[in-house]
Amino acid sequence: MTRDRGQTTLDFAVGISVFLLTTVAVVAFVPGMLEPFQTGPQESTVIADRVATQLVEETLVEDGKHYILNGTCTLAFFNASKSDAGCAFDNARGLEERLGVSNSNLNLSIHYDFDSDKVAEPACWNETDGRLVGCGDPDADWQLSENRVPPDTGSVIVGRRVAHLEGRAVEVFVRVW
Amino acid sequence: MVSRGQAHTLEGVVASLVLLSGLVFALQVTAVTPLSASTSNQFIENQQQATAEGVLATAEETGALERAVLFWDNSSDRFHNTTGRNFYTNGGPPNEFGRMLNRTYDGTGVTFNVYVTYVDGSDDLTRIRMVYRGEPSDNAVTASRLVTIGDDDVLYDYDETATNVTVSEAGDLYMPDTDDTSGVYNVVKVEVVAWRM
Repeated sequence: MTRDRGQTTLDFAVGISVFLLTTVAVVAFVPGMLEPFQTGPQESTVIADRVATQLVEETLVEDGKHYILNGTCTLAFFNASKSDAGCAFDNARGLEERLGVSNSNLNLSIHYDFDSDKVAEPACWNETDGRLVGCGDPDADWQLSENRVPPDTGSVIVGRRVAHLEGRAVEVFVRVW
Repeated sequence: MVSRGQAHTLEGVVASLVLLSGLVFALQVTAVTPLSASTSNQFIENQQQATAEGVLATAEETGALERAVLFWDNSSDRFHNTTGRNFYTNGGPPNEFGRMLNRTYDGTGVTFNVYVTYVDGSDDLTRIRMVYRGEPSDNAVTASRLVTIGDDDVLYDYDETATNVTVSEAGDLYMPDTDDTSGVYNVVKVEVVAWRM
């Protein structure tokens, strides 16, 4: 075979390989580059953040002191049978109405590490002694948590705050889905 | 006239370069916003800031913050149970404030430093470390509280009981008396810096 161009088969192979590899890499990379800008659970994230801030800075606090929760009002928030006189909410209404959230599911709970095992357990209230206990404790009467149980599948956004309740640094969790 | 429809090697290489420069240009144009999923996400920073402020507010309310500032070993001129360097490196100090910090931050992937700033003898602000666990990242958050120390406040022992040595009597305390005429000894600022590891 006579060739009058100064190019061997090997030159051709190298050139085409470089070109094809680059094309495939670019085509595979572009969707990954656009991924952070797709619509994700952004609305739930903002809701969790705002609800958690609102709870520890306005709704449950004592005299406007941020992060210091008023014991009576906090108990009234989680238990509709208690009086909410003097608190910044009406516990006869549903949870979504009290917090101003319309079409998301919410779960609020208070956790504390009662047994010092580095894992925070849900907090319950003991009526007879009037104190916070772990929910595994036999004296616990009712749990300081509100509303639906989060699903096991799908994404659940969690907002976490630390606040002072009955002499302890409790963790307030807001779950939105 | 070229009768073979075959690319030169150089054409293949140049075409690849054109594709790559198009990709690099597109990458330069896109921006990371505060709501993108990264460590500088606004939601994460809000949450860390609120957590740090909540811990400080709780410690101040229960009085643990003042006890932590006065958790000073006057005989060996350092905070209790620090060795070598005069600050804690393995978590919070062994008092109520340290336990609150550890309970909040252990196992969450967030670490913290605690600094104490006071007014020194020449009316300048001096900052010492109470807890130092490394250089904070660029996306660290800080929260601070002011604590007023009176002349009659006492130092605390390593088992968190009050001694009977007042701050005026303690010779080797890190902060001096700024005002001899009033009952205020000094005003310190406790600052918690938290960042994602």
